[in-house]
Amino acid sequence: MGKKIIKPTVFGAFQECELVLRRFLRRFTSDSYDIEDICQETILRALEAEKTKEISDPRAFLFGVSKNIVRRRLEKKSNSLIDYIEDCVPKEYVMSDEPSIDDIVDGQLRMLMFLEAVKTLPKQSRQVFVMKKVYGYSHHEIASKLGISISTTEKHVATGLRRSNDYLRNKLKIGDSDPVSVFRDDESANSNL
Amino acid sequence: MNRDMFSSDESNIAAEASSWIAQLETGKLTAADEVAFREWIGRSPRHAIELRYLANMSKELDRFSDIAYDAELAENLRRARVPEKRSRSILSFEAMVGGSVAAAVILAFVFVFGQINTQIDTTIYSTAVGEHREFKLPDGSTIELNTDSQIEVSYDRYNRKVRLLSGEAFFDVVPNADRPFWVYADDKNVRVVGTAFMVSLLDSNFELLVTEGRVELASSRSSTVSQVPSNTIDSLDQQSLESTALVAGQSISISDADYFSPVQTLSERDQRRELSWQEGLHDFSETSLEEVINQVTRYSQIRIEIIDPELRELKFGGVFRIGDTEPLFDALASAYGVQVRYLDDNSVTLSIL
Repeated sequence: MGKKIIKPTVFGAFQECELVLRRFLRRFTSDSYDIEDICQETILRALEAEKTKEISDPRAFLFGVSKNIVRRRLEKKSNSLIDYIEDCVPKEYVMSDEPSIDDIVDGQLRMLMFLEAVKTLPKQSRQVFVMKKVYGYSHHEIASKLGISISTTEKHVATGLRRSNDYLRNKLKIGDSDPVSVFRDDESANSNL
Repeated sequence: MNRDMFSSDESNIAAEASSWIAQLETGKLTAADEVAFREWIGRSPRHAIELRYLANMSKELDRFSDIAYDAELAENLRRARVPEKRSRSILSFEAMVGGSVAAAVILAFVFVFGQINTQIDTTIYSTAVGEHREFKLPDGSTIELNTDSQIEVSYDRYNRKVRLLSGEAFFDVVPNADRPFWVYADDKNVRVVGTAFMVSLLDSNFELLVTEGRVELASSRSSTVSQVPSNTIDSLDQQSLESTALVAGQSISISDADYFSPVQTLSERDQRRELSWQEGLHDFSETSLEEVINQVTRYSQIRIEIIDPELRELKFGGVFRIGDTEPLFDALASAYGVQVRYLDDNSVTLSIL
């Protein structure tokens, strides 16, 4: 039983990619257990997929799986944040669901508007916004990469969010006195991404 | 943030709500901040409406991450292929302002990863039908392969990884907390630091038996059923890959048909029986004849057919040398009244007398 070099499979690709994958994941979380966890979930899901279908580019496939896991986690995090807010709302408030303007401005167009808004941000706010929303960096990672404090990071994040909001409202001529639920708690907007 | 600020007008409300969301997105609030947060919401329903609205907007803004992905992927793959010499850190964000085609601008971002310096040494070890061999790995750990088994071993600086492609293997792992030892089988993995255990993968039936220490078993599919509802900020970072710990004497069997089977605790006697192949022995006790035949045929080219279906459930016991089928057939004939008929050197039929 001699030794031989094997051709790349999902598992072989995992060997090659693992360090790059870990570096890639480091921005989402500085917790090494989380990184380990996502890495392992990636390889196990990829191995499971490999059982039933041919994976033509195992490396690309691994990054795709990993990206989806991260994406799901970000979404879950956003959802828990929204749940947490709901949880903090006093019971006597009646929070009715306002009509959505999803039908007037589709998601794609909204994203373009947001992008316009980002362009008008001051330099460092823009930098923070891109790191957070485009690259998915955690606040801690942003602070350490840019050499700024967490509270400064939060300030820029808040500015980005406000600017996006103002821009959209102005574009759509929505009065400040009438905040409608532009963003429904609706998975269909994100499901095909 | 300034929480004493009056929120009399709408743009103040939006500003304050944005600050709270940014703070919540960093992570857990301190107890004092949480009190202040609840107080802020409690001041006016408008506060609650604005918060919810902006939190949903922030969630939607995460969709920007999908745009950057393709360009990053290409870069990542290049990095994975070519070992790098130098590390650089952050990119220019200036392109963000320039372009008119939004997506293309974002695609232009390329993140440069740091140094990748990894030497991976992958080898395959295997045994033929009837063969039983022990392999010594570079770190001193040993792997004992049972009949007709195949494993892939990859060691690098940080990890020791073994993939069981098929068959059965017993691992005796030299402890090294800095370099975990992983065994992958099918879509599951076993993580250990230093311990002894057996893993088998026969026709996608997975089995794990721990004889020493403790191991962690994780599976891609178990995570899909354990969606714990989360509605507190504390649970933001919960893990989604569920793992199960097994300690010495415990075993688990997982098949596609019976995926969520419980961890069992085996007696010393049963553990020895599971591992009797290490001594070159079959050790049957109250084992159905069908299972006995399955076991025996793993180790040799012989084909054994059970003619009468009711014989399959016949309970059989005894210790036999692996590869030596004669005494087993003798026992079946003399003690169980089974008719053993040789069709040729390599095929046998079993029927009721």
